[in-house]
Amino acid sequence: MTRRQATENTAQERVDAAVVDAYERRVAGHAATAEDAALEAEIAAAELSAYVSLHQRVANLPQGDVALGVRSVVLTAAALGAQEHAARLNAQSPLVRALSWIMRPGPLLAAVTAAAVLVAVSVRHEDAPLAGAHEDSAVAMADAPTVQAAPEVAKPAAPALAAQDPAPAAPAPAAAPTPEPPAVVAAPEVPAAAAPPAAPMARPMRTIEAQTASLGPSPADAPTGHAAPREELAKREVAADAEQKPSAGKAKAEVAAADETLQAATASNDRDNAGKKANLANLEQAKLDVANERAGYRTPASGAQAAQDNAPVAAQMAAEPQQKDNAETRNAGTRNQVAGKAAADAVERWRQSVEDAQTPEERVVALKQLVVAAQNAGEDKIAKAAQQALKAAQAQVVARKRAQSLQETPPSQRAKTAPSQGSGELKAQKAKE
Amino acid sequence: MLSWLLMVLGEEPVSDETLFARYQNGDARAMTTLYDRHARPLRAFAQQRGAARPDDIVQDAFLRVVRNGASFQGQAKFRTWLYTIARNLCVDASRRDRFRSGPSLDAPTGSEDNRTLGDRIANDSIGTDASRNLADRQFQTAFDAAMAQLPDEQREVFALRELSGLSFAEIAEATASNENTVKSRMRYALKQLREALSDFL
Repeated sequence: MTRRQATENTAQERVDAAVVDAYERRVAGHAATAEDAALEAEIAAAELSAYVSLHQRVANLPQGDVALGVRSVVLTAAALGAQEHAARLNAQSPLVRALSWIMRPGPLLAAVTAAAVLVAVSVRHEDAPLAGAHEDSAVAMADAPTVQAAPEVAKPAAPALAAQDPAPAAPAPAAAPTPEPPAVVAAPEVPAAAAPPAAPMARPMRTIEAQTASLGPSPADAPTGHAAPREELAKREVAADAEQKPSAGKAKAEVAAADETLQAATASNDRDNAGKKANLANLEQAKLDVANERAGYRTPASGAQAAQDNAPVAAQMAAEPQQKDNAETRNAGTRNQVAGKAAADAVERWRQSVEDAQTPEERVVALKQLVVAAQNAGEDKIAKAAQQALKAAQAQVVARKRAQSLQETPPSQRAKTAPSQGSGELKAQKAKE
Repeated sequence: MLSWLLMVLGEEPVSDETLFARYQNGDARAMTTLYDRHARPLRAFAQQRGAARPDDIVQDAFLRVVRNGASFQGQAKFRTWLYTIARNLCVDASRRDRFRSGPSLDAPTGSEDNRTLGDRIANDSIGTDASRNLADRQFQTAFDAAMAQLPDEQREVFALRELSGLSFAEIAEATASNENTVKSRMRYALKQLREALSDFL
């Protein structure tokens, strides 16, 4: 249908066509249909009757015959043409005749139609297994996140979880079409035992996600390919839960505040008790240190130096009974505060002593006291740092003492103790003496 | 299946396409059957289409069919193809006859006895055609006059439908028109002929 033909297909033409169709049905002798009844408003029944009458009159009109000369001319030409056609067909090989017959529009159209039907039927038959494959791949895609979590199974904390659900790592190579660098990096960590042959296809996605979160961080959490600590992930989950559930977060915060208050009270109590113990321990330690250092010093100078080193300890010893009396006289309510404050003051005081120390020995003593005071005050960081500094200072003191002892020892005694000297030399020296 | 059995038993007429295929395979008698089947309606169409010598249109149309028989591949119906050829011949003839001042005396009048216009004028004037029914003759004259008043498109559609017996689909294909358009032309032709021939209806 050309565009011109389409534009001519107006509403009026459709009405006219309906009228003519009704006319045709009348002429053919068919009974009037519902469409004819609907046309009553458009055309009068008399009009159709007139059309039918006209048709009958026209049909009865005699048609003039064609001249006989025309017939003879046409049939003669047709006979000649038939001979030519027959001669042409005989000259053609059977193959060409068959091809010419096949290539006619009718057989060609039939062949194309049959081929299309066959293709459609074959495609329809192939659709069933393909649909199943699509479903499988869709489920595998849904399981893909578990592949990212699979490396965590190899971590020490995971075996229990892996035993509960060892399936997730199974479809990893085939079901993860997206190139995930973390999964590729962590893949070798997956133990062979944690990779079962097949994954359950109908596992709920929510369960898989929960297991994935419990198994370890996602690749997004570890952009460098290394997994983040499990504790941090747990904190993140708790924070996320608190964000998602305001009431739960609030309750947790209240519980945490109560815990902190309780811990603070307990710590104050402990500090109170520990303060006493620490003071006694400090006293004992100071005595031991003084004894040790006195034993190590052989010169009057070193003894004076030891007494100088022990001066803070002595001061502490002198202050200790006074503190003890004060603590006993205070009531229980203020005792904790005083003890905590005293512990903090002690830390600060010993820190100042460490800074003011001019000799390594002073520094060692001050550091020892600082470690004890920091531990009593609950300052773990300060205690650790002081302990490290103490070790270094002690090493320095030892080296210094050794150097001093070498300088003060006479050459004869030094020779006795010198391991590098040979036995022959010693014998000769004895003989001289 | 039933139509195939009827065709084999000879109860149902062989289709035009089958006959022409036989002619293409060298059967001259098939063309005779085709000629006898379509010559008169084709002449009536040519006459209503305004051809001065409709026999010439019929002869030329069939000769073209014979000459171009090898090229006919069955894309369309044989009847549509034949009437398309005849229509083109009528168009060419009307262009040639444009300079003719009046109808040719050699032109047949389309009457049953195949008389020319000159014969008819002479005979009617002396009233020798006593055997013919007067009413039919009057209706024939009035019908020819009414058909002559129709526009070419409406007259063509009416002639092809009522005189040649083509379906509207075939007419639409032969005239390169929409089928609804053809039916619309048919309705207007019917309306005008009804008004013009109201005395005879």
